[in-house]
Amino acid sequence: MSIFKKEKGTRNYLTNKEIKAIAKSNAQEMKRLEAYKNRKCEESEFLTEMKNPENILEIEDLHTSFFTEQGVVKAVNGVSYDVPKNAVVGVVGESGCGKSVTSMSVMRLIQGPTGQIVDGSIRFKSHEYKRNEKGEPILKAGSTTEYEMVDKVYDIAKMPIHEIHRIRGKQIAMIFQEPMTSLNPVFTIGEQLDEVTFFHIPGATKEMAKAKSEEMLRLVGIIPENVYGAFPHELSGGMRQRVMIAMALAAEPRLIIADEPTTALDVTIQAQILDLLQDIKNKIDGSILLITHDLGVIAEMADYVVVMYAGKVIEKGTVYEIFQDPKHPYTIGLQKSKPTMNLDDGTELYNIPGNVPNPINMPGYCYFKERCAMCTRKCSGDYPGMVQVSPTHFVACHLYDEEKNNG
Amino acid sequence: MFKYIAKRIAYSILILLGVSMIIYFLIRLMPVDFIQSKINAINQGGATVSEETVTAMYEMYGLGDDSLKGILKGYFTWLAALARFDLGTSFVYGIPVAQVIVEHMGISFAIALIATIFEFMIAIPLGITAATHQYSFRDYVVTVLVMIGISLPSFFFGQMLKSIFSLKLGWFPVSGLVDATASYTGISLLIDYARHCFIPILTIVILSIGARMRMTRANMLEVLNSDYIRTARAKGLKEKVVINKHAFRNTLIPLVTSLAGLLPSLFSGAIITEQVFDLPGIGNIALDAMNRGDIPFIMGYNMFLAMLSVLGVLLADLMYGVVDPRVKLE
Repeated sequence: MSIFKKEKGTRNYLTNKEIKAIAKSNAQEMKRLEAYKNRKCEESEFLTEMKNPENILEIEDLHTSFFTEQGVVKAVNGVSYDVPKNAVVGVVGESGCGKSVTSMSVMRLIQGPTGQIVDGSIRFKSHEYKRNEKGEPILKAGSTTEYEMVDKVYDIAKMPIHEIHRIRGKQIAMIFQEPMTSLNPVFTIGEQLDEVTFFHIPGATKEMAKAKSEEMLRLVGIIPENVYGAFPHELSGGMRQRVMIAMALAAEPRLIIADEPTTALDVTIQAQILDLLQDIKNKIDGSILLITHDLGVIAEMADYVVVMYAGKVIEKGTVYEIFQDPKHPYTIGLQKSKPTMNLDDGTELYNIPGNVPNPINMPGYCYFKERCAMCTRKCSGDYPGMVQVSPTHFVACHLYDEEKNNG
Repeated sequence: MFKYIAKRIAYSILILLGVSMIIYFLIRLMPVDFIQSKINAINQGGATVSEETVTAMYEMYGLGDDSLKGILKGYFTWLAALARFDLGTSFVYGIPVAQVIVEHMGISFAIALIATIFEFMIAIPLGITAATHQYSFRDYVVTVLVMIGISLPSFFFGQMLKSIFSLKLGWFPVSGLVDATASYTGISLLIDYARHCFIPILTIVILSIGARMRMTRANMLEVLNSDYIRTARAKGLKEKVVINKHAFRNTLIPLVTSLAGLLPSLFSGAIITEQVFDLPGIGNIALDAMNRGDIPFIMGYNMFLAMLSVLGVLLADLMYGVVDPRVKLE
């Protein structure tokens, strides 16, 4: 008999009863969160204040979960990081660590009803048109094309989904990983670019939209005459990614989220696209949130680095701190597993042993414990809290707990 | 483009030749005998037909020789006539087959066209809301209802509607195309047609919505999960624009091409529905011809449909080139 009554956690299947219980609680949660997402409410409900006025985006204790048949996957499990003005923040981590889900949460692009933002806040400082009671933008006195602007801070996580078009595209734009499939195959590049201007610039005419689109194409190094009327399938991957970048820039956003913009491209094109992003960063008055698993890209581009592991931020700091003085054993491991040119003495490339724990049943202790070479007795205890090791450098590891206690 | 079409038409002629051969041989092998049933009818009338007359009749209709050679001869005779655009004379009606088809085509075509228009107008929006509200109450209700529609046989569902609306409620005529007790003209004749055709069209529409709706839903779901829809959303477009412009335009590709594939079904007539409601459409006539062994009509009717099928496929391919910029026909 005993072989059939294994403890939960040691067996690798779910009983019928458990599946039903999961389905029931998932349905309840999804219904509640969907209703919250689709609710109608006053603007004041999602207006808020920045903790630090120098930041443009503050993510605080964000939880995004996927309600699957096997249980709740906490893809983003209490993530906090900031994006300062005019900075490039790089987010690194292995596949499935929640870096993309965090950025998708910022754009509110998590596919419902299974994927939901459960808790936390995403504060974003928006620079938008001042609007009258009817919702029309107010012209500046004595001008026909310039509008009065106003700064507002929104909590994107609390915004009803039908309000999100205030943010998407206009304030925060996104460049995706897959340029080959991210453009609509049945519309020309011109049509897809013009749309952005049409939707976000009040009183935009056809000529204005076209002029703007062509300007953006030139900005990303494309001769508009050849591409404006072309269909996406007529362009190469690198060209399409340039178009995606042009599209992201068209409404002059304050924050660009680049979600692995170079992963799907070949190496020479990768370098070109990175140069372009670097170039654009200097031209626009905004910030870039760069998500990648490529440490080289981060070193080249980023001012600040956030290291994520299994849905949590384990270390964050300036790019020098993370690369010169990594604290967390995982970050140290990542730095060691970078291929280098002078590794020709026959030694194998370092790899971090083991695997990420099962995302459905995360342990109570540090998620990296099973793979960590620097474990102490303390590591079997609670999940480590964030420890500040320098004014800008934070790490979530028990190894540095004492330093906090002393200091 | 022109070269492509010319090439396709050349292939089509080969296909049609093969089709005509198969149909002709199958009909000749069919266990119905037009002459025999005609003679039986005469015999029942009390008269007797001599052996010579019977042989002469077989010869006259070209059915005398049932050997392979005889069938081949019959086929090539038919083919030679076809080359002169002559479909032959119907055994049953005694008038040219083309004329029989034209006479009964109108009503079947009108019913099929109206039914197809309603089918698309209802099924596409249903498919889209079912897809955009996947796994919601609305999706389940729509899916279950159209599945019931798909599962109902037309002879049963048609009779049911007839018994409710025509017999119990008396809102619509029971069968036929015109009211035999009145002689309408002009607008009132059209209204009379409409009253007679309402239930048959309703039957066809309800039974056909399901497949189209399922197709729209599946396509829409596939499109909605694609990266470019995410891009459209990320651009800040309102959900309405994302669905109605970006997603719908892509869903349209298979729908428009399937529309071209419907060409033969517009002209073929709904055999069972026309039977149930006793409509003088081409489907009804075709079934009758089949039962009575009217070889020239069956050949003409089937070749007409085969031609439309081939044309429909060609049209569908051409439509791909129109609605999908990725497809270039060379």
